[in-house]
Amino acid sequence: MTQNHNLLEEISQAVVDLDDERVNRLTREALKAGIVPRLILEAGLRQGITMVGDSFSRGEVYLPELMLAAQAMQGAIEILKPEMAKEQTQTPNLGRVVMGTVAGDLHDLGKGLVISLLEMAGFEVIDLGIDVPSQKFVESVTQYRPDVIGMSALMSTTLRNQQKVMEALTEEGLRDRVKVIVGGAAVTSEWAKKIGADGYSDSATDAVGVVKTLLGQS
Amino acid sequence: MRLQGYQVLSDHEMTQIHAASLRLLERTGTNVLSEPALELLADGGAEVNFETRRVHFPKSLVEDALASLPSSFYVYDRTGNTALDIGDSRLYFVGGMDANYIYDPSTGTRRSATKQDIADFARLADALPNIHIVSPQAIPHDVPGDSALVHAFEAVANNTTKPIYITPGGKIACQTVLNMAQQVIGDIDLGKHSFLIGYAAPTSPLTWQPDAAEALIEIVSRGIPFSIGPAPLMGMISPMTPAGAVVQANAEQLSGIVMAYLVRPGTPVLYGVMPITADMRFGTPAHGDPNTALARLAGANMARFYNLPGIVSGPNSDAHCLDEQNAWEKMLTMAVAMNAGVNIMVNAGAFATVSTVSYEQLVLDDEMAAICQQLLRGVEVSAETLALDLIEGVGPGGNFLAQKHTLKHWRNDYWLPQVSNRVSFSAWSKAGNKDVVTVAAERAKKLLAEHQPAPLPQSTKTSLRRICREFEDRQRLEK
Repeated sequence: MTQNHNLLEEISQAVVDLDDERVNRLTREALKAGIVPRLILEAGLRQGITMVGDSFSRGEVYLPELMLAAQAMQGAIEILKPEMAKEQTQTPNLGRVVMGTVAGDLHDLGKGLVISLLEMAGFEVIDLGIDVPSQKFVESVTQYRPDVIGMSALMSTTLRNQQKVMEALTEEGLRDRVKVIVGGAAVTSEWAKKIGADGYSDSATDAVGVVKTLLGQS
Repeated sequence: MRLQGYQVLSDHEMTQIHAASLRLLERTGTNVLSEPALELLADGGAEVNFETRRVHFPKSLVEDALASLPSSFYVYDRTGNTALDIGDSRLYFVGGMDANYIYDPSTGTRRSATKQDIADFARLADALPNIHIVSPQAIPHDVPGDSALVHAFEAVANNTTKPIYITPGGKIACQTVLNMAQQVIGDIDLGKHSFLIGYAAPTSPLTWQPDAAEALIEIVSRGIPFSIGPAPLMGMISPMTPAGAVVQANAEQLSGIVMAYLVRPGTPVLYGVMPITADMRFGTPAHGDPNTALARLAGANMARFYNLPGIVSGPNSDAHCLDEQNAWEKMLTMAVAMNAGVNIMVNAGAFATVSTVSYEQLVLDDEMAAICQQLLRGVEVSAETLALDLIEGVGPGGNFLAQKHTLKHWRNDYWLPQVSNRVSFSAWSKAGNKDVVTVAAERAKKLLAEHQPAPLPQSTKTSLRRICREFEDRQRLEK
């Protein structure tokens, strides 16, 4: 048991060290040693990513560290996936968020940043991608049953597509089933209010706080 | 002599960057997500994959495009008279652009910009002597978002006689704005005597979105000068290193230059390569950062390397109010651009990472622009300015106040501030201890109360209104 415990600690440390090769190797060793995938994920990988996230909050490490740590964890999750599928384990999380950039808008960076930060904070995120038609946002409510939908719009010309999604959600009677957050360079706090969004943030790093507040977690 | 330009790249280093960008364009190429642009490039000799929408640019095509470009050009006013001679080391300021918020320093609050704000800002810019080109200062939020730029153009055209800078998104909006511009100048040929400068930027890394590519094609096809301004966030959408960011942004720039060449060779292009530091604590752009200034200086050096007129964003600040940080970042970005020989600086009046504008800021930037114009004059050395006879005539222990030479050069060569304080403490205190922001607010208020540019004929105003309304209706129908 102690040996397993050490192995999990080593995985955490490898994530903190941003050493993806070591993370992968230790993850395989842990599986071989018979540690259940869920424990590897929670006590090893997520423990490490939480430590990186905490350092980020304290201003000790920066976004590149955060992204590299997330990438290292993501690689290891790929290794765990087949095993987890066998066990049919559900990974516990703080909530499920669907994210997408609205129709006509092909910008990816801000949305990607928010997704990584949410995942790091312990949310499960489904990324609908860029140039997402309103209907796809609407369908995602029944398909994925998310707690929150996040819509990004970088251009003034695509802003109205956020409103379209809001209207479509209301028409389909789904508006009450999900919280909606909006962001992106063209979005203002007044706009968010006008279209009836539940949350808005003007920076990626503040977005996690907005989601947590909406879900009563902070 | 004139002030000598800042240089952060040696000739050899610029040649290295040029070669690296050419190699990047040839081997990796750019994504061009627009069908008409892909066809244009394929017909023009670029290697185009219509499925992946990837375009590879042969070196010779890039070089032909570069060779076709003028190193200077004129911009006209709406009566067809020459307004600006863009080139050499002449620096012109553009208000702007595309911000969301209006800030009120007296309350420390911001609100979304309205169409009335765009009209007022245009009128203020028209009144300010060092703002040479007027642009929609912000995006109006009280009109439908998909028609915002068309509404903004209407507001600007009705409130200035100065040249206008436009950033229309997409082909249809662009055609509409050009249609309106033609109404403004009546019979004058827009292509020969343009009072417009267009702008679009590729999306880093190495991608042309449909709207940007099609705006470029539309505007350049009319012979209207066009500025291309890739502005990658270093470490996020370009390499972290300024040199690498410039290699990439230069390749993006050159890909735009090739498109402009294939649309209409010889149409003036303003060269902008303006990387931005990403603050890795937040992932936010830091426009006032010294590394941003360095990378943009390198970009300005590349404009000179190609002998093209240069453009840069600025004066910029990331401060959310009009404080000391705002002032030093503004002066840093403006002074560096000036010293690099940039010809057009776009964003006077904006701050808070270009998200916000204020009337006071536009007045303050006008003052800073005047200061920089003074620096550009340099120091003249001649028998008259050496004034040896004068010094000997006054002799040891005398003074120069009651000399005609003094009066002449004070009158001719010196500059008086509009808002900077230079009075004594007691005079300043007696006048109400006003800081420069308060004085700028008063100047803005006064200019807005008094200044009325020559109006457009009523029939033109009506046409603009009609075109704008028709565009809006059409957008609504498409919904």
